[in-house]
Amino acid sequence: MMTMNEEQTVLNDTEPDFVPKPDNYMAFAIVTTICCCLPTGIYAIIRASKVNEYYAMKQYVQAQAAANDAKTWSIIGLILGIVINIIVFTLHGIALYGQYL
Amino acid sequence: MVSHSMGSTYKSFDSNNKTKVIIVSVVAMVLLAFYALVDPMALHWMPQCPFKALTGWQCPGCGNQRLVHTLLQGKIVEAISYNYFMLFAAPYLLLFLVRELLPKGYRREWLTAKIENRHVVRFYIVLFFGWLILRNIWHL
Repeated sequence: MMTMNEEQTVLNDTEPDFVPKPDNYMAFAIVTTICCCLPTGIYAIIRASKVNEYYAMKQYVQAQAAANDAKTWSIIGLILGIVINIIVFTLHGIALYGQYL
Repeated sequence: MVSHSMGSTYKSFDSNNKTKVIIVSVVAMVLLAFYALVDPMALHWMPQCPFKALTGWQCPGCGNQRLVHTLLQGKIVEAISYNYFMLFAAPYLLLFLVRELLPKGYRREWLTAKIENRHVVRFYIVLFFGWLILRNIWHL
């Protein structure tokens, strides 16, 4: 009985008539391609674009999955970009330091 | 975001949006201030693009640090010459920011439909790879 009530509340809360379009993180994906130039950003853009297509076809689960992918791969791109930059920066620093020895 | 139900995501959309815009604006202003003060060409310790450092090739984003620095000094023509790809990419990205600032409604939907149009997105991806190849052939 308790679970029934909970389900009812959830159903009312989600408003089945209107499923909002998930945020597709397109801008974030584009930023990673410009700043980090990583292929993960391109993949994120493609997945972000899919969000709108799936949403238009009322395939809401796939749309949400594509949105999650776009977010994940944008974040991976950004973190990879920062980490690789730090590594290159450190190696560059060590090389410079070596010249002064 | 993901763990919430669709409904609660929708309700918290406005406040999330404002936070996002504020974070992006602050980061952008810090970066602009940094590149206004620091000349990336004069400093040997400035981070070089990892792609360029590893392969020797220019990636589609190479030259952006120099571009921002020279642009902030008012040298528009020289700035663009560091990365012609930004002629398309920068206004395109700016439209996403404009969209975020627009209130919910017809104009926001209209702009979203334009900038997230699959042909426009495909054009961006083609241009990205085209620019990668062209700039390494012609050393742009």
